[in-house]
Amino acid sequence: MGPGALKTVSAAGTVIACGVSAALVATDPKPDGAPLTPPVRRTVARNSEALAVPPSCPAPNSPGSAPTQLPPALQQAYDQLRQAQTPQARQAVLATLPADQRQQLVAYTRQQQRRSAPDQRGCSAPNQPAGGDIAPSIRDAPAATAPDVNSYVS
Amino acid sequence: MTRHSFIAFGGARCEISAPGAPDADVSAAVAEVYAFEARLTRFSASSELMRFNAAAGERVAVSPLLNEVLLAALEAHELSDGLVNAATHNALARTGYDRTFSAVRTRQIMAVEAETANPVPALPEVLEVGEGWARLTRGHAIDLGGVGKGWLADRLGERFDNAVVNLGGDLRARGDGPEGAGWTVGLCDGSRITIREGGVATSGTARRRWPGGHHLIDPRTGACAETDVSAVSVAAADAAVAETLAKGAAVLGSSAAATWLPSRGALRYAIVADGPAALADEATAQ
Repeated sequence: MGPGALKTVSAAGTVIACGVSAALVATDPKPDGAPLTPPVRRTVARNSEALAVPPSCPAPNSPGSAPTQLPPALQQAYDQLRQAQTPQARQAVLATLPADQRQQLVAYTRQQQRRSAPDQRGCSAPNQPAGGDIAPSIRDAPAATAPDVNSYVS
Repeated sequence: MTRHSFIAFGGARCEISAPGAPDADVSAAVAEVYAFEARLTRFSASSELMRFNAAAGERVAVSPLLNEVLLAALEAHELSDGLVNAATHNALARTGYDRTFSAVRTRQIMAVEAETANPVPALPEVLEVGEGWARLTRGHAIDLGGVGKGWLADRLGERFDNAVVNLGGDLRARGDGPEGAGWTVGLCDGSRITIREGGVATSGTARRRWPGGHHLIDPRTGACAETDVSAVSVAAADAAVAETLAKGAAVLGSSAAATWLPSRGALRYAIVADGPAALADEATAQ
């Protein structure tokens, strides 16, 4: 068989193979759960190195910012803590909880305070004096005074 | 006066004194120190902090506590002009300080050579914190050791009308003290101050050091800070601010710190450069 005949046979074989494949695909049953039309989701390739990092401190009550979820078991204690007027009353509420839950509750309470009054130092108010609303009372003491406590490198 | 003394934070000496307060309240505060440590230590792979570090690259839900302390770390970074950066975790670990210091003492550790260290990126560039979630850039990790102690001393101190909460030298004092005149606090140079409301913290290279290095990382280089400050005590409105300023001053060095500290809110400070005998430390602490 000459080169021309080989080319003819090869071309005919290719056409036959493609035709058979097309017929098989066309008659293949569609799975029951498959959508009629694949959903189209517009995606954008993201180059993480080119992304600007968004602000670390979100604006309180900004769209899309949801408060931290408080475990349901702490909701009642949270309500009681909000109503407590004195340190003793707050201690009494906290005393009903294990140590880790007390801390979660205190942290959650601070978050709620920040949401309602965004006047904390740092990100929310860069010009706020360090220490927030604390009125410090610090004065020099005579060197001979015995310290009640020492601060040291630990 | 009942004084509760205990060891926490990988070997740091802590104490809580609260004249007139029920003993149970003070004991509860001590329990919270351990609960806090368990949740936020960098020395346990199962702590919430280390699980957060392991999830770097993903936006993950965080507890209210971790949420708050991460925000405190961002505030410390801003207040300190970037000198206090919680993202120094990996640089610190490269020095070999990747476990409690008592464990580190038992093996050879290496200082980070300046030539091989890399500057630590600004914290807001690698840490994003929302309400109930946070995201850390892949390849970075957070250490909340210093920031956490200051934050916790403030929260526990606020529970009492009259108390001092001292967590490894980071302390919050409020009230009339044991005898009505306030709390007298000894600083690193042996001087004293009296506090009715405020915080004090001390930082420096006098402790947690080893041949060729120490635990204070300069974020600008990623290596151990080249500083002459053996110890610096700072008094400020609260312990968190004091802790931030003390660490920033220690990184800066004594000369620059003397002008930087007052500009950032320090109300009193004492600096010991290259360690004279006046250094007050655990050995002289009560």
